[in-house]
Amino acid sequence: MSDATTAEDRAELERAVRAACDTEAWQDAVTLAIRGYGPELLGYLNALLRDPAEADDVFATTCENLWAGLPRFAWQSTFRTWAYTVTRNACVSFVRGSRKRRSVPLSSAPIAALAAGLRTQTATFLRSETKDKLAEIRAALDPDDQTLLILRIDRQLAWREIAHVFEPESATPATPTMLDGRAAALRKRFERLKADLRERLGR
Amino acid sequence: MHETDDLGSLAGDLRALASAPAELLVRGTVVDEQYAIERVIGSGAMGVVYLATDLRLERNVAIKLARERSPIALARASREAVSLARLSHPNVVVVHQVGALDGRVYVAMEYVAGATARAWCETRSAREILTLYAAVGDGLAAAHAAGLVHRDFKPDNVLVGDDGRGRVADFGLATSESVTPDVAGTPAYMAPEQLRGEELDARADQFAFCAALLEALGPRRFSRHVEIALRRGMAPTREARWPALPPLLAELRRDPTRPRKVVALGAAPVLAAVAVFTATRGGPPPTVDRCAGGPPRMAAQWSRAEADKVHAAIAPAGSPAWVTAVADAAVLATDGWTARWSAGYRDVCEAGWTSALHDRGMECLARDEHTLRATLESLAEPGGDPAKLDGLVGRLPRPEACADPLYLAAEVPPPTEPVLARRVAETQDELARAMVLAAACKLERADELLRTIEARPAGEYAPLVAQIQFHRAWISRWRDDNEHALPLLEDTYYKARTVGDRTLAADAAAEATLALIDLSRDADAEPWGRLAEVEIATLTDPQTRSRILRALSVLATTRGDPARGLDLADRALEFNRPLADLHGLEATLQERAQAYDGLGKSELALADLDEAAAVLTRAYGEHPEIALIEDQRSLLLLKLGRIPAAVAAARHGLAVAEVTSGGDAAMVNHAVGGLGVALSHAREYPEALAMIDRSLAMTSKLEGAHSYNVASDLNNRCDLLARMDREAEAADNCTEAIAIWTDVTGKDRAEIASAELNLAQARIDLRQFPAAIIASERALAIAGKQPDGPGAPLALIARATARLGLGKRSEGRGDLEKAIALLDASPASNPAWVAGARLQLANVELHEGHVVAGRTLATAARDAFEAIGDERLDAAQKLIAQLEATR
Repeated sequence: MSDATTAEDRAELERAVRAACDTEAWQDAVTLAIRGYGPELLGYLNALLRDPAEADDVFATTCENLWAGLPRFAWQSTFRTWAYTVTRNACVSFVRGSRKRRSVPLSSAPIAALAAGLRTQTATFLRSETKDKLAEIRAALDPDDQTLLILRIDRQLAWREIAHVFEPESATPATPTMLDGRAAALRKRFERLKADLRERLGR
Repeated sequence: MHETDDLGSLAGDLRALASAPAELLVRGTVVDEQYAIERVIGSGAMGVVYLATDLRLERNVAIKLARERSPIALARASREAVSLARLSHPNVVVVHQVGALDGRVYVAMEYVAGATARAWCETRSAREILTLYAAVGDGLAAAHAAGLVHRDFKPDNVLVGDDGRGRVADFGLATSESVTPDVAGTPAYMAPEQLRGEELDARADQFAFCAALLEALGPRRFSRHVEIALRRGMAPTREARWPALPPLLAELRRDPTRPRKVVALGAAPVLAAVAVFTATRGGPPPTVDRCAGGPPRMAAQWSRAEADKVHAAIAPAGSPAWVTAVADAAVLATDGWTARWSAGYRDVCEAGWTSALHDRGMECLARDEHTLRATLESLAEPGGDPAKLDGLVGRLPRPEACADPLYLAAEVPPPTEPVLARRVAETQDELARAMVLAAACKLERADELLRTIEARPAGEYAPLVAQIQFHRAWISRWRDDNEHALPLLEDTYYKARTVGDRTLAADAAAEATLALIDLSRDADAEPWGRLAEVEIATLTDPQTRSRILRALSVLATTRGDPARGLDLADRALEFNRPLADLHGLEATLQERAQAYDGLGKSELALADLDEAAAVLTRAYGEHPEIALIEDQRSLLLLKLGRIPAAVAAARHGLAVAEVTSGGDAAMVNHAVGGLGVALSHAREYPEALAMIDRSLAMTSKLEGAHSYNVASDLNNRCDLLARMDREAEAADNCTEAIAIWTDVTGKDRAEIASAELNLAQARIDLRQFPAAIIASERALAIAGKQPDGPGAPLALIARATARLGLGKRSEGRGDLEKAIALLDASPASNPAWVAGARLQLANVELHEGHVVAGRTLATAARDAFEAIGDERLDAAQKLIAQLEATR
């Protein structure tokens, strides 16, 4: 297991994947990349979908898409940023698809979350009120807002990298100016989200 | 600089919200060139468990990977592997391999497809649970013999395969006995010495084993000797526990109904002869079974021919599908009940009780048999109402109670004088028949039967007088004649207490409580509810306890204490779930939904209603009760703002009502009214008005123009007309609804407050501000008595709007600020209301020149409107623009 957990690990991994791509050893490149970034991508999907089976399914799709898209990837961002873009797109189309297919299970998701909240409430010695509130808020977060929180705070991506991840699918590559504009918009959205969370948390 | 640096007081919470820990292994990873990871199947504090394929041996395995990289854990796990390798037992999970992966320990073990003991036991009987745990105990004992202590034994660490075999898993904390451990484990199952962090031996596992088993048995009835054995295993000092598991397990396996190896000397030659006979013939020994009398007695009552007759009477050829399902269910339930009766017969026969107790057990069974006869007669009569017949088999008494000495002891002993005793027994049979007739809605015949019973000489026997009186009251309750039932029930209670009949006393108190609730005398119901609660504490019969707990839950929720209602409903459900009484379960779920709703937990309420409907759907497909549940679901969905789903539920409810009502106009009408309300929220105004008018006409016809439900319809119509901008008519409808309700229910009712609010809104729309203030103040006076409900803040908002309309800005501001504070604190709040109030307040701030405060309020309102898709978004945006311009 060689998941890339430090900045040096990541730099090393990026170089190795790029070297494999340069010799068109696509399979080696994808294997290296998934071994390195797979755990954090799957962690991101688990946080977003809150269902390990669904996260696994989307992760499988992500791996296929990375494999299929790699020859066309032009290295305008790091591989890690691009991998998040592909993962987010797979997730968005999964959620869209499943919402169309089965509205009932999705609408029962907040019930399950509430039930979980209730169970934790009974174990009051384990959980504080704020934690329950956090679980509620997390369950109600818009997936894009949550992606924003994860990528910015937990994964510490730069705003330009996040702008890459939020690039619309099948769009022509953005110019640096466009990226900067999008990054600024995301930054604003992030500030609004913080204000909103502050209010919801009663801070 | 990073975002996390300037998050301020939010930093911790934001980090928690953003946390997305990387997974340890992903699908396809091959561990040690042997195990290909498939998916996560569980996770805990110690690590993550994966399903993997063993590539060499082509089988599924479970891989447990520790979260922490730790050389100490690695060393301990290696020791564990050696110990476990020494141990091969069918009731212990097989460990294939222990290894290291990037500094973390992993254990590859047998993959058990099935469930944990916790989940498995939920639906099992006491006997099945005891059998499972005894086998699991063998596994644990084998581990002890190999020098291992589990240290974290609990139901979640016992896996039950699809083959039904239990296996102890997760020796993750296990250590060699000689090692002093740090404190680890699950507190609920931990022995006192473990909590204190002392050195442990196998007796700590014994404690955990007993705690887990006792918890698994829960409210089920089990033998006293099992309880005594488990209590010993959970003694606070280990010296007082069993010396080891095997003698405890032997005690758990002992069947107290079979005497312990006490073979009379005189029988020995016979047994020897049998043994010889067996040896030569090779078949089973032909013994005489004294206790085999149950099945033939049941066969006489319930033959296949009888079953066919009952089925044909409930569902004649050409009946709708749901009626056929009711007939199927009745036959199936009777099959089950007769088998249980036969088992109860054997239990009483083999119990080895004193002859007096034995006789009472047999009398109890005979009475149940008689009730069965009466029930079958009612079922086999053609032309009954399927919806009413449906619950009859579920109402049969539990035959298990006859084999329970505690239950028998709670009954009043029969008179000692033999002639009177026979008469009393006969009369009790007749009473049971009257009860069945009443439950089948044959009230006239039940009445007539009661009169004959009262005329008999045995009718003067005091315990019987109390029972007869209770039945009379019960029949009055079936007729909705609570005024008549109430004094009878109160008197029955005192009579039952005098003769020492605790079950009857509890039933009488509970029925009195319900009668008072039905009479809207909630305050008077309270002391009766408390009496009922005291009475059931001494009862053991789960059926009685669940029924009374449900009644108490209704009372608590109606009295505005949903938290207590929830607690009581939860307790009732504990008793309901193991019982075969489907309608009891479904009714308790509906009741718990009411309690959840009262607590503002609409989603949970919805989940309970869904389960209640599912219980019925599974059994019948369609059922009239589903129509009523759909009506409640629709209301909850409206509260949650899920309008299309609410309309769908109401439409389904109406469809079910029309199919299953069998001409019951009131039921269809109820569904029509519900659909009208849902449609008005969906802005399908013409269809909504048509539905509400249809309901209004039908309600007036069925109940008279001056009835509670007519007021309901008028109030709904008022709300709808206001939405349709027909405010003047709306105001008229609301005024009328208020007048009727005040007359029928008295003042100070929540429904009147809601109508006053609707009226205030209509007056505001008509710009009749002083009248609006009066209506909102009347609503406030009522709703103010319920501080948690949404009534008071809504009334404040209405008054603020009217006051602002009159230019009274500072008074309006005061109301709005108070309303927002109340809404923020209320569990029953709604983001749209809060946002609406903020928007109004922002407007006030604008006029008073407080631009910054105004903008903060307007922005919050805008965001909320945007989030929920409210049409007032435009207004909020305009106001923000105005505020910007002012600056």
